[in-house]
Amino acid sequence: MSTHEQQWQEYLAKELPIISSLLLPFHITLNPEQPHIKGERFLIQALTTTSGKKLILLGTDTKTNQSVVIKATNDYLGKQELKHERKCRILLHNMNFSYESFHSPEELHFIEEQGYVVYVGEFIEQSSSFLERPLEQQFAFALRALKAQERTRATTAEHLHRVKQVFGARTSAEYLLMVDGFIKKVSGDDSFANVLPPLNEAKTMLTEHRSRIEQYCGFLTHTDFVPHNFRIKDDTLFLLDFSSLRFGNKHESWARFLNFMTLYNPALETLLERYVKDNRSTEECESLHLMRLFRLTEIIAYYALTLKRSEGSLNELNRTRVHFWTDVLRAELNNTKISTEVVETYKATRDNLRSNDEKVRQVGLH
Amino acid sequence: MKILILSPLFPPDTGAPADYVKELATRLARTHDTNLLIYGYLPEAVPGVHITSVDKRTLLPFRLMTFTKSLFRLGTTPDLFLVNNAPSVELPLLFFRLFKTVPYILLISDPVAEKASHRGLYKILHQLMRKQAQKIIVIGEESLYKKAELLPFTAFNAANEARRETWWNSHSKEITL
Repeated sequence: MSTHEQQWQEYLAKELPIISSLLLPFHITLNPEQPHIKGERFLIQALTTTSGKKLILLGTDTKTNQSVVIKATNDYLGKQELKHERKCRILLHNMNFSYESFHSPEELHFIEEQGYVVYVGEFIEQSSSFLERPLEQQFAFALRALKAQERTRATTAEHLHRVKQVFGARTSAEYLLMVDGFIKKVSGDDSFANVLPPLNEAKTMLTEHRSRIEQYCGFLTHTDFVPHNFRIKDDTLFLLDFSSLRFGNKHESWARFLNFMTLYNPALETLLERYVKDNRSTEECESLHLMRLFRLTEIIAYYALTLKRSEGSLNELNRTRVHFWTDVLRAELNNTKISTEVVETYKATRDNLRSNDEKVRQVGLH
Repeated sequence: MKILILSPLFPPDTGAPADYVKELATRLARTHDTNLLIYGYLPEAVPGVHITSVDKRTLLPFRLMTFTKSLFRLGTTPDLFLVNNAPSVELPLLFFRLFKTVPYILLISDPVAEKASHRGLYKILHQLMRKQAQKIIVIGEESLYKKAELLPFTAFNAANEARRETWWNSHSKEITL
């Protein structure tokens, strides 16, 4: 076990009893099985959003027997994140220029006690995970959710003033600054010498087309729009993570989703790409391509950063991840697709290197 | 004919009038000298159409002033204005008309603004606009003018597309006759 993993276990042993006692007056008990604190959870920390240390737990309201989701923390950044997420959720539901409403699980309790912030929300039961659904349904839900985000744009000074303080607003200059930061994170490691050229090529491309990035800024976008951040009940899609909402280039959430599907469901990726080509302007296609490059540079930097905090198989897995996503970036730069063989080989290596706990955490996650 | 289209919205902005105005400009530009004066930032291009955009990210009085100034600069040569309903477009135009009279067609393309035109100061402004307009055309449902999306699991509806084409042909005639 790595030092970071050991620290995580100690953190859990200390925090879980305290959180349990905080929840008792609200008739909430923690479930014996907690999949979201297992496996690689100790490594996960977002690179571009205010992400603090927090626990995501499952529980039950003993009065109503209702399943609940608990987010709890006593970490400064973690508390900021939970409060920020709450603000985002409230503002989003009240924005007068938002054309589409976003569904969120009902907040049951928001507790601020003994230096802790604890959110308790309704657990959304879903009959099957997103990726288990038929392709047609996946396409329909994804498109509907992506379109809902696009319909919200802060265009006037008054709109921007209202959203900037809460959500933050990214401009093309900020995207370019972030790419610079990602490249710096990777350039410290000599073993990534072959990773740097495509990263620099992506940076050049983004710099040369910065006005195209700017053209589609000001839109509501979810920086982590992937299946584990939403759940589907009946015909309604519930957004789970409101802290990753930003005003920025509208294709950022599209890009994150499509890059994710390169690995998890290339057929859905192809359908969504086809949809954009058939129905959107050339400028939009270019902007999406640029955002995919941006998000790929980010994911490469993300995994490169985890190397310092991981050992053994997990370290090897993260190194493999850096190289896999670099291959995807090369393909995107050349407007081609990574071959099925490369994806399958990577998946086999990943499954081989993943711990049993992580395999459990992954079940039904997407 | 030389046409200047005035609009509060244009892609990448979203909302009902944005798509309509882009399609209108695209079609009119095939047979007429067509230009656009819009509120927006980095608008999507339309072949053969010069677009003047007024950045909405400035405070309301400044953007109204900039739009009015642009109207004085661009508005002296057109034979016809096509005005999409919105107070931010109608107010500068009424002011402009104190100095120069160019015929205009009022296009009721924004249902949100239309709803707002029944009350307050905007009601007075809008009534004046309606009074002075050469013609008022109410643009109906989005499905009438907006191209149906091509979707992978839905068959292409040729009948709907034909209906849309007919609507655009008669709409273009109604505007330019």
